[in-house]
Amino acid sequence: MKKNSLYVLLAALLFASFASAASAESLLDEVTKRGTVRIGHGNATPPMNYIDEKGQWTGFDVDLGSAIAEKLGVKVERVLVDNKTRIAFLANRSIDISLANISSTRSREEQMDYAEPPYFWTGKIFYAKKGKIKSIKELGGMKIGVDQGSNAFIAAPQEIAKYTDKKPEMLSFQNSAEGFLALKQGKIDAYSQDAQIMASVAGSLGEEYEAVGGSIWSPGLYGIGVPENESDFRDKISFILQDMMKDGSYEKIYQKWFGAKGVAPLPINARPRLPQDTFGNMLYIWPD
Amino acid sequence: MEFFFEQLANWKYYLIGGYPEAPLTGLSLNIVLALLSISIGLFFAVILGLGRISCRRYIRYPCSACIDIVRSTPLLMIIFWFYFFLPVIGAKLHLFWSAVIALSVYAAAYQAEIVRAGVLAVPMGQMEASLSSGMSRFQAMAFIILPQAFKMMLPSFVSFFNSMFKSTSTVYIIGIVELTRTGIIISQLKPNRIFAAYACMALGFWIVCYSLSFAAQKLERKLGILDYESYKPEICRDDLILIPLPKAVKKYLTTQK
Amino acid sequence: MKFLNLRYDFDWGIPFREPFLGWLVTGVKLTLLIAVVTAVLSLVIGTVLAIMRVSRFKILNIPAKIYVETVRNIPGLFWLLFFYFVFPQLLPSPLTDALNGYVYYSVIAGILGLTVDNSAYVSDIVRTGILGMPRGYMEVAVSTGLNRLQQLRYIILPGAFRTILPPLGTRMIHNFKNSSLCMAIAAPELTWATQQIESITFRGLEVTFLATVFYIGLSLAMAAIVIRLEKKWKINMTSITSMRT
Repeated sequence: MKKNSLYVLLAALLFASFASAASAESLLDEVTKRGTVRIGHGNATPPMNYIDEKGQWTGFDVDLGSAIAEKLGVKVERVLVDNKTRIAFLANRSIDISLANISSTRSREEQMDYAEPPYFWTGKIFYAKKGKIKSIKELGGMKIGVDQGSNAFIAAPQEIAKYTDKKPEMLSFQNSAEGFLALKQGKIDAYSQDAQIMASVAGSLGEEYEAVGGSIWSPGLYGIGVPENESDFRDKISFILQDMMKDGSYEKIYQKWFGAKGVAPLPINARPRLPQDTFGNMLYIWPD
Repeated sequence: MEFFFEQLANWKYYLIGGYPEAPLTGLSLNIVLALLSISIGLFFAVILGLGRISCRRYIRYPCSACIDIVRSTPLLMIIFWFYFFLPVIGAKLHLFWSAVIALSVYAAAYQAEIVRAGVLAVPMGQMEASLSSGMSRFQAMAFIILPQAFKMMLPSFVSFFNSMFKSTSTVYIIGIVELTRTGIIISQLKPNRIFAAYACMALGFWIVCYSLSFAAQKLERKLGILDYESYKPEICRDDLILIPLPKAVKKYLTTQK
Repeated sequence: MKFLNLRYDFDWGIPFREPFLGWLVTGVKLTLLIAVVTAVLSLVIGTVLAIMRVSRFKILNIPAKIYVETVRNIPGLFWLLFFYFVFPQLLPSPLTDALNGYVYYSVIAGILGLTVDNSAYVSDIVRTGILGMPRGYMEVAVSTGLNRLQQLRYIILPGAFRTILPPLGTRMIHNFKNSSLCMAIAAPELTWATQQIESITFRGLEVTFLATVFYIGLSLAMAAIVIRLEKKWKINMTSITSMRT
């Protein structure tokens, strides 16, 4: 009997060591007090975030993250996340901001919040060998690859089901580079990923490939992820992003990466902006 | 072939990445991970391994359970557990450290079995002799039994280091840029260099592992091969508590029959 | 009272909801398939390699040694990636296209990679078993008048396998656990399924827990079977060694 009570005591001690007091202060205060903001970036999706030839962690997301931290007036601590943890880490508060090419979806919104507006406007394409696949309809019954962690694993079959009854065979890879390699070797017929990432991963080999049907099939509006129910923090980040778009520092980073002379020149305009017919290409900024 | 030499000329990238300007990556990160996890693991391995041969059931069973559970879980699963679960209980750890912890847990369980076999291989008379010379059980274990056991375990440790070094390649899955990931990054930046990148990757692992297994063989020959079967663990005396505990606790435990 | 300050809400319904349940079931099936097929293949290849290594002929001896030394010193993960991405490209082009076009090539690559990795270890274990046979046993084998291959087949190997059963069993359990690495090459086995569910629902702990229990349970069951077989097949070596006198 006494032995049992000893076990209970030990177990209680073990559990108590895990328990810690929940903090009541808001994330914005916490970050300011801490003096550092923890930003999660991936490292396998060029040109958004990747490791270059010199071993440096770089990319559009990384530069944007540094700029945001600067505006917040705190130091930046970069945390490596991947396609699976970029949302999970935000939900369990391991990171304060997730800047890792997260396109806004409803199911993600349940776990996290997005700063306004989405900072990069792109979309998912089915990437395939030139002339091999004419339309999305033909993708039925074919092998389609995605990144593990991409919402396309479920969304792509739904999209294809609109045109044909034949179900595609879905495969998921650990990162886009492995997926593109599989595409190049013919292990899959098409790869679904955002347009600018695909162009960057393919690099000079991109000439042999094209988007199926020539168009984006699902919008990928990249949002800056912030933890759920931290509206002070979310507003602050939103305003910083809009300020950056106003004062041109966003444009500078955009030009560095996607401008005509940038690292990965982009033919489409991916800046957050309002519809041209009504607003004449006005940037997506809230008035004061 | 020319690509292979081109990549070989790029040896610094495979070895240390952009260090010291950028974080340490490549082969040396594998070595660092293996060294760290083995040394942290060893500390817990001694406790677990000795616990497993304790005569006290309440020490032996939990230790055996820990060892068996970790040993029957795939390393990948252990890594995922620490990667996803640590943040959930509120621990904020750098990715590198969560990998180190996962690998250490894995190493501890496997090394515990080596420690157990090593200690059991030391003749029982050694313990009796040291006890009769007036040493406490803890002293006898620390100064007489363990040093002999460690000497016998040395070849096993070196070959375990070899296997641990190979296992560190698994952490590439959670995004740590060690040699495997380095090779993949190269094949990502230059898709037509995939053969060369893979060959360099294999060469890097092979050189380190081969020298380790060579060292293990040399050591084995020098120290004599450890014969695990020569010792039967049924010799277990009631008064033998291998884990050092405060006297009050020990007394409490021994009176709880 | 909330005792543990978990930043996570468990929802045990997730593993039993479609399509997740389907992924998990396929995952379990594939994990078992990969584990069994690689175990059988590597046992065969490993035994052949072991026989080659104990052979007197250099032409058999040296290639086997090179194979084992190469494979043992490179991680299993490398072999998986190698067989998935590089191996088909090294073959003649019709075969390359056929392999690459096959939907389940990732599973085949996984089996190939794990077999290559495991067979080297198995061959080492079998070799130790053959070399470790008592002298008397070998003398019995010679005195039967069988030729060398028959001696190996009917006398030496059965004896060796009984003595090496424990390490061989451990190796096979290790191989079963290694099958989880196949997720790296997009083979939809159990670990892949748990990660896929994690990435879709952002709630992976429930499925990861179930998968871990599955791995632990099966590993322990395999270990128990090995111990059972060991007891059943144990032969009394001392009686054989004493036959010399």
